[in-house]
Amino acid sequence: MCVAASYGRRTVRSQAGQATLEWVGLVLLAALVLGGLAAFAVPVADRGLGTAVAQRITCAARGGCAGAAERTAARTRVSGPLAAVAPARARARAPASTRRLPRDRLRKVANAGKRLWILCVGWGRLVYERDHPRAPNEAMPLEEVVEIADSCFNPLGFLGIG
Amino acid sequence: MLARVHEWATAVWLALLCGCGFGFLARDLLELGEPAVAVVWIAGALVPLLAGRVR
Repeated sequence: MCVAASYGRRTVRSQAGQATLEWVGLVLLAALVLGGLAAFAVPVADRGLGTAVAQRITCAARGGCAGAAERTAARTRVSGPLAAVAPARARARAPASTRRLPRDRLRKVANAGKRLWILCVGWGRLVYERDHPRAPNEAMPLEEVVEIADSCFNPLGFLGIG
Repeated sequence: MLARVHEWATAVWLALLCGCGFGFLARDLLELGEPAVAVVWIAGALVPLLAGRVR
């Protein structure tokens, strides 16, 4: 008990444990930046890019494919007998893609929203670390963990019920 | 039957996650009042439902 008390006093009075808070902050910042980049990255327009990348990788593994680049280019553009009807098809597709745009945006918002819980948990932990400086070898009390989880995931708290 | 149950569970779970996520933004980061947080939570929960299946 005496050791624990002196250890606790030393922790509060000194800078010990401060690194934990800074590391949590740094990790949160990195997670925020990376999550933001992933959430708001400009989507690549076509599925052809995935095919092209996969083809390049398999070609590199095989030691080269003759004419692979041309085949990929031909696959992404319409040629031959279909070339005449391609513009009409493109025109017919355009309004549909325009109509889908709001739903795509909603999906992006939903994708961002469903990742925000990580920030909520991290934020709760950061606030706790700020208010309760601890030694690095001290575990966080279970009731505090439960309280952070409850504050993040309990809809009643957000809705002002209970 | 099981697929339908799974679909419903996914929708409920996504609504809960998005509601909590946007509620966190409103409550902890923007420090809005309780009614605004409730509105944002409900709006956030509706987003994945309106967007359809979110992968």
